[in-house]
Amino acid sequence: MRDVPILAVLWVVLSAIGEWVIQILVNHWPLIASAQGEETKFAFVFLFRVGAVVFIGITLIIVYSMIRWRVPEDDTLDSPHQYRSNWRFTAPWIIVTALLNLFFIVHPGITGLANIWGMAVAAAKNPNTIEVDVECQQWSWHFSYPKLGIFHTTTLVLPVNTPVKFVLHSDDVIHSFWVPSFGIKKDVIPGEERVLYVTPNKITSTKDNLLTRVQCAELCGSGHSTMRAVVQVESKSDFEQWAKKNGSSSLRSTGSAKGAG
Amino acid sequence: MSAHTASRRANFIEISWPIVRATVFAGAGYFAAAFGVAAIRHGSYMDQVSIVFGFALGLVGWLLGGGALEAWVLPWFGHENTWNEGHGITRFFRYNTDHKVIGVQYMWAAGFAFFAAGMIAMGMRAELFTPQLDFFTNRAWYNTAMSIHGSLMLFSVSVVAIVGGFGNYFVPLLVGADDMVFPQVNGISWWFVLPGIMALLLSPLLGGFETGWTGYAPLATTDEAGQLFYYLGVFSLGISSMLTGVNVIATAVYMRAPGLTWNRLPMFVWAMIVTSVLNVLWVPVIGVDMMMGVMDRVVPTAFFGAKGFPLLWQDLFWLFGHPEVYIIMLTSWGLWLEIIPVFTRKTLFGYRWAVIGFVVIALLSGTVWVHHMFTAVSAARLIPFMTDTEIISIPTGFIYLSVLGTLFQGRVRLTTPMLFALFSALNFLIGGGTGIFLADVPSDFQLQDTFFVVAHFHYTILGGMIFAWFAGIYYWFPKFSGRMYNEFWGKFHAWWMMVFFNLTFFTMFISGLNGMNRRIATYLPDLTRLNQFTSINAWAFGAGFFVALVNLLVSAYRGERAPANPWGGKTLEWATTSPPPHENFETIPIVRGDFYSYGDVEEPEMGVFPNPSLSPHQHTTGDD
Repeated sequence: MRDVPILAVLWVVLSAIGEWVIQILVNHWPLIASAQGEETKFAFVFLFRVGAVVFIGITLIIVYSMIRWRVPEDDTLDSPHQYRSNWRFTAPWIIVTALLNLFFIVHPGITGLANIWGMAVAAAKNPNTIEVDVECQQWSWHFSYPKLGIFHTTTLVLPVNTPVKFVLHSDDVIHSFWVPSFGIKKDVIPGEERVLYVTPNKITSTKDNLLTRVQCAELCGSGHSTMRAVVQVESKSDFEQWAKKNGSSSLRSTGSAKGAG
Repeated sequence: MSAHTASRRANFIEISWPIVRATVFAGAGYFAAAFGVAAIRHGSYMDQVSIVFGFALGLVGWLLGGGALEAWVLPWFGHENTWNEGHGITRFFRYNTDHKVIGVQYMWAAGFAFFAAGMIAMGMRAELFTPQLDFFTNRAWYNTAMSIHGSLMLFSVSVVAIVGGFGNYFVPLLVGADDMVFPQVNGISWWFVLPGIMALLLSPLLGGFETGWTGYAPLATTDEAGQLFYYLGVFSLGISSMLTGVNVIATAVYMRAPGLTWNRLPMFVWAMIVTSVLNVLWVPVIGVDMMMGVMDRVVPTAFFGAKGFPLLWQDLFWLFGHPEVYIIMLTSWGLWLEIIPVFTRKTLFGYRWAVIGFVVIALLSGTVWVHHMFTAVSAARLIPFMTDTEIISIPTGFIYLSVLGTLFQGRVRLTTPMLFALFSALNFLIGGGTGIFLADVPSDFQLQDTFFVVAHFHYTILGGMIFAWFAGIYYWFPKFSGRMYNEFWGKFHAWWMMVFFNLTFFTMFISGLNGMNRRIATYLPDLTRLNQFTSINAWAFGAGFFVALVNLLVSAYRGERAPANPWGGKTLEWATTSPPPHENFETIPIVRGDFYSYGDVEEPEMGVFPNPSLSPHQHTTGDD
């Protein structure tokens, strides 16, 4: 009965290889450029690391059984090992799955949410928070900065390391406000006002990386796939200059949504 | 293809006339109602009100033409039931009350829908081969194709193929009964499937619909009139599911053979009972949802529009839609647990844990739906639904507990059904495992509505359920066709599907993480390489099904004659001939032992329904 120790050793070795591969993947992760995105990425990577060990363990037992205990197809003998239950397997299985689940709910589930909500609460109190009004319609985005006197731009320009309060509106159907590199999205329900706080933490733009774009993420009709907008995350001084230049005039367009395509 | 094949061959007219008559009656009903309503309202026969009434009367005409006229309606007025239920192959294309025939009817209908929806998927992959729009005329038609693909696959394949097909065919056999409790209801229930499939397929005649299979309002309210065919088609398919559900529950409760206690009930029957309870509980919810959608368009009410509660649609939809995932998967798990003990010749491990798993999953399934809406709902709903969703993986783990415990130290015979069952278990592990990322609210905020989700549910439904469906098809093929399939091409199909399935859909996880959102006809050029890789593998994957089709069709006519019990299985369907006679068993079998005991394992202790247990395995006709 050497199978259990062999499986245990294989499990450890393969899990180690798995974790090494995950580390390589994490080092080459798609761009994440906001504090909230760091949280959602952390949750993903954490679940990935722990889940991989479980996945490798179960896959290993199935594949090992297929190889180790394979017999010709015309074999008709019963297996010499017969049992209906085995508490040494069942009890740890149930305890571990239950604990692992409860653990995942608390961390990264509730802790991640607490961090994201914590950032929102802090941003709501922060006087430097930039407020951006987002109007979603079939099939375009318009951004207004009411406190800066900038209205109806089609490019989303943001300063780095400053919390942003997005106030989301839709008049027609459900859209979803998503900048892939910000790592978070929010559905926009017609007739309701939704708020999303994001703190961009890297200087990036659609020109540098296509993940930094506004993309509608909820099917909204035939123009859904091209419902995009250009994003520029700039240094604070660049942003202030931009705001000064555009602040006086209303309804001035600073870019074209088509630029993203 | 049957024990009752008469000596003479049925000609084409004999086979097709009930379907032709049903189509003619359906058309007559449709146009009578549509023109009638148009005349009364001084409207057009093509406006939405006319279409809805047309569909309703067309459905009635279809049922009557298929045989309900002679078998249902005329007997109400004192006439004899003069309906000829046919013989041989003609039975599969007309009203028939034999559960085995109905099972085959469900399977061919689901197979037809699977083929149609699969071909649409090939077209979608052609569109996504390049970033620009080049295969479809415009984006709206891509969205319509995508919507029809999703609706057909979800509503007329994944909840119909195993539940309607194997459920009808094998539940009575597995419990040792001669038929379902309500054969007449069973006969009519299948006739609701094709109108549903045809409504979805023909929705482009009314302009198609762009909402995907989820039909989110208010987009659905302002969409083309093809949306009506989505509502009505899904409603029609739902009626079929409910009727089958009632029948299965009644059959499993009242028609079990003597000695077949709850402790001995086959795993597939347990899965079917739990699934049917879910069907009876939750399908009415989607029915109401669909009718409210129709009313929003034709009355017009304002339930879901921008002036109403757009999220109400999502709540009602997913209140059914998440239990639906378990309606799809429970029977697949039941199939794994039927097949694995037979091909390891090892006692089923943890029978009761698996049954507890089924029941607890069913109980929890109605409490998790908001995880489809994490990015849309208020903060107060996030943590409770995240908790419920993650907890549901604990009972799901019981099924893997049972699978692994049975496999361990077995004598594993890697036949085609066994390969498919194990591949299904491996794929579902990825599907279920990636569900944890989506159940976790923070990571879902990024993953929601991306290709990560697309990959996730294809791993559960295609990798899990469709693989299990093929496991069942190959496992029971000797039983329902009376012939053996070609083992080499069966295994070839299994490996082909496994390899190209994983190459196709694993890539989608990566596209999703790289910012590819769902339901898009065009994308940005940074994703081209990934999508081309996916498309090429998807076409290879799709081509693999023709191997199965040819193998099964040729085998059905030319295969070796199957013995009653080719695999040495112990459940009751193997105790009768292949294919079974009309009344299933010559005499009603008496169950004297456990179906899943091998070797010298002790009989399980009897629970609350004791039964004189004589000798185990008495009914086994296998070669052990």
